[in-house]
Order: sequence, then C-alpha cells, then structure tokens
Amino acid sequence: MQKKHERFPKLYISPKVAPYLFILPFFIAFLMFQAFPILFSFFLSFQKWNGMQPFTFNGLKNYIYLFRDKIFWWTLGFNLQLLLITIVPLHILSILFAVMLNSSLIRLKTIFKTLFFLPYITSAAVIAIVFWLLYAKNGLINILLQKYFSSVFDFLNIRLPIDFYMVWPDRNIFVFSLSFLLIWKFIGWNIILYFTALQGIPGSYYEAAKVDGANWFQILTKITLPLIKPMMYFAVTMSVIYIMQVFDEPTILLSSNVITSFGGLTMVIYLFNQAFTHMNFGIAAAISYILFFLILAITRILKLIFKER
Amino acid sequence: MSKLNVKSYIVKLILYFFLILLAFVTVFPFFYMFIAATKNWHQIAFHADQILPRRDWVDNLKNNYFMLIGSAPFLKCVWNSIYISIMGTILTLLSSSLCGYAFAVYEFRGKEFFFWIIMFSLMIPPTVGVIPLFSIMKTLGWFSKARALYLPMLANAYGVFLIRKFLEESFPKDLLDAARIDGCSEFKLYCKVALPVMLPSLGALAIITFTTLWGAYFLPLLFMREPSSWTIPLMLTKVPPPSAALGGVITMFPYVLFFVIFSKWIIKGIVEGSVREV
Repeated sequence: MQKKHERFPKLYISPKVAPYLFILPFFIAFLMFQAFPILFSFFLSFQKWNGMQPFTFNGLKNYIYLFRDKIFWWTLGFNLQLLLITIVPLHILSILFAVMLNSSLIRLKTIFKTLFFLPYITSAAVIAIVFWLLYAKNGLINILLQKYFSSVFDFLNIRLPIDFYMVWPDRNIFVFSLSFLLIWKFIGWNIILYFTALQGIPGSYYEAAKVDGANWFQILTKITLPLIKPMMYFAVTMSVIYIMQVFDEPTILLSSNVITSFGGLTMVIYLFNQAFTHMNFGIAAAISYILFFLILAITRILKLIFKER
Repeated sequence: MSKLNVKSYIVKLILYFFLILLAFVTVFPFFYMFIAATKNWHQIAFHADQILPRRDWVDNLKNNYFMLIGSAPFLKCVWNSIYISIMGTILTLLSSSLCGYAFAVYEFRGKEFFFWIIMFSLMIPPTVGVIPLFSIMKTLGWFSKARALYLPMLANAYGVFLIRKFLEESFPKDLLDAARIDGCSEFKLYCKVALPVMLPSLGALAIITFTTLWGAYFLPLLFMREPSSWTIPLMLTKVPPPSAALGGVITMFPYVLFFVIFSKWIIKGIVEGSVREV
C-alpha cells in the first residue's frame, strides 16, 4: 500500500481533504455564476446603474418607480392572467388523459407516451415557429376559419401597454393563443407525471371501490385525486415557475421587434427591455426580485392548498 | 356478447378516440412544419391550407436551404449547439457526480451548511441572477464565446441533489471501506467504484441537461452577439419563415429520431430525474 502511494505521490488525497476537493469545482462555479449574481442582483435593485458608469444609490426608488409604472402592472396582470387560464385547463386535462391512459383497456401506452412527450423535448424556438405558421394572419387556422366560418382572428394581436390607459389586458387574444401553446407544450409532460403517480396506486384500491359499488366519478374524486395530490403539488409548482418566467415563446411568436422597442408583454420581457433597451439595470434587478417573491408567494399558497390534511 | 362486454367496448372506443385525438393535436404542428419546409414564401403566405406537398416541393426545399445558409451561418450554428450542449453536459456530469458523491459518502465539517446552500439555490428562479450574470460575462469578455454558456453548467444544483439522493439510496458504503483497505486512493474510489454505480442517474441527468441546453434561447440571446456564435434556436428566429421551418426540421429530426428510439428509457430518466420529494 505504501509503495503504491510512493509511485503516485500526487494522487494521494486523504479522506479528510477529499470531500472538499470534490465539491470545489461545483462551488467555484456556483459562487461565480449563481450565488454572486443572485446576491448582487439584490444589491443592484437599490442602485441606479446603466451597466457602464459607477452605481449610484437609489434607495427604494426603483421599486417605487415600478409601483407607479403602468407597463409593469400591465405585464404583471398579463402574467397572472396567463397563469390562471393555462394552469387550470392544463392540469385538469392532464389528469383526465393520464387516467384514460392508465386504463387497462388501453394498449400501446408507450407509443402514446412518446407522441405526447414530443413537444416537451422540442426547443421553444421550434415550437414558436411552428405556432407562428398556424397563428399568422394568413396562417392555417385563419384560412380554415375563413373557409368554414368566414371569420378571421388575429391570434397574434396584442394590445401593448403602449397606450397608457390600459391597466388590465382586455380583449387580448394573444394571451389565449399563448396559453394554448403552453398547454400544448406541457400537456404530455404532465400526463406522464400523473401517469407515473397513478401507476403507484395499488389496483386493489380500485377493486375494493368497485365492489362497494362506486362509479367512475366517485373513484376519481375519492381515490385517485387524493392519492396523486403530492404529484399535483409538484406538477403545478413546476408549471407556475415556468409560466411566471415565460419569455422565449411570446418573444419568438411576435418576432420580438414590437415588444423590444417599447414596453413589455410578460414580466421577463419587460425586465429584458428595461435592462437591454433602456439600460436601467437597477430597475431590471428590482423586477427580478419582485418576480422571485411573487413566485415564492404563489408556491407557498399552492403548498397550503395541496399539503393540507 | 354480454351487456358488460358491450359497455367496456364502448368505453374503450371513447378512450381511444380521445387519446388519438390528443396524439393528433400533438403531432400535427410538427407535421405542418415539415410541410412548410417544402413551401415557398408565396405558398406559406397565401396557401396555408395546403397540407400535402406540391409538385415543386423539391425546388422549394432547395431554395429554402439556400436561403437558410445565405441568411445565417447555418452549419456553424449547428456545430455551436452541438459543442455547447455536449460540453455543458460533460461539465454538469463531472461536477455533479463529484459533489453529489462527496455529500453522499463523506462526513466533513460544514457538510450540512454547504448542502443547505445548494438546496436553497434550487428555490430561486434563474431569472433573478440574469442581470449580474450579463455584467460578469461582459467583464470577462465572454460574449459570443461558447464557454459563456457551458461553464456555468458546472454549478448544476439540481444534479448534485439528484446524485446524492441516488447514492444514499443505493450505494453500499461498505464497498468503499473494503476498497480503501485494498489501497485504493480517494479519487480512484470515485472513478472505479462510485461512477459505475451512478451510471443510471448520470444518464437521466445527461438527458435533462442536454435537452435544456439544446433548446435554450434566453441566455444565448443575451450572450451570443455575433452570428458566428449563434446556437440553433437563436439562428432559427433570425431567418425567414420557410427557412426557419426547414431549419427546424433539420435540427429537430435527428434528436426526435433518437428520442423515439430510446423513448421508453428517456422518459423514465427525465421523470425520475425531475420528480423530487414526491
């Protein structure tokens, strides 16, 4: 044993030092690319900075600016509206389809799972391009609508908060178009999550319920739903985190020019514009922290809803 | 046929109807992208409802391809995406497995504190650090350099969590002591004993990381300023629609094929890798 260490003196690491060496690469990168930016962002949210000149302390002014900023409230409203109209149908449909897929009457489950999963592994850019082809003014959906219903929708129509009188996005079709895209993208992923949870439920539970004469609706609400509650909490939380930070899909769908030169559409687009169009890094940092606490608050509420006994 | 059989037959039909409907809705947009790739500008703008290839599809395909390589350094972008995704995945696997292994098998001062930091960082949405990260990359002069996208992957908190959990559940620690007595160095223990055990969870982690990097748009948009440094998603948004459709098909197809072949394994990996605390 001793001889071996003499042959490779540099390779010997004592078991006391080894763990520190092993976690070192992670923590160097972690400090540089995660911990420092996150903390610095908090510091920045109280500064005025355009990315070049030295910072000047700004107190709470960034937050006060945002509080009075109608565009900011508009984007916040858009995000919450999008969240609501996406999450509810997404998870109801996912659970229903997962239950269907879990049925013993269905064969070829793997093929269905593979097909449903496709959008999840496809990049947001490709998905947005595909949906642009469908949603555009002369796109497929509109051509079909015109043919059979002689009406045309402007699916990509957004009422941007350029008009400052708007506080809540009204008659905004785009939020529904975007919501449909997101449901389409994530339904397969959620179906498979719920399917995995359903597979964990012992078949004897269902048989016992059937013996007691329960119908399928009773089985769904009294057995299935309570048992997949932990998975619901996880899946809904994941959706909230994604949707609150949505950026790629709306930016690409609207080919970005409009929103990048003016206000914002979602909160992260607004953050992007404040930082990289208007060079208000302090305000952008403040938005990121507001977003963080908003997500935290929503996930806390979800925890209360799903974890109560 | 008894009454019960008829009923279950009808239920079966209804179930299949809905599942096939959803499968159709899921797959159709992709199919439509394939078709759009064989159309020219005029057909995309005015004949969107033609969902079967026309006679001139070969010419259109050629034109779209030339337009694609004419308006963006297509092959360079493909290479950038491959390079960044593979490098990022390798770095994630290296650092996460080392770090997760250290947390799973060693006792050391500050262990709980370090791990708490990792868990805490998982709760913070990545958008929060974006502005300073931008400044860091600018200061380092890493704009338009691949490393700006793959080096941060060294700090994949999620990977550490995954590996630690996996090892704590399934790794026989007696094996380590036995190997130590045989004169195995600590690093060798990691390479020869721990890594093979970790393989399944490393596979899951690799798939998740690769997929994320391959589809990333926000960070490349921030850091990749020069066309020669664009990744595929960035490039696709800068070319005209028919070419974008073709580009989408070209870049998606190999990945989808790979996915379809190994789907059972990949889905299992992603789900098991993503679901925590459930």
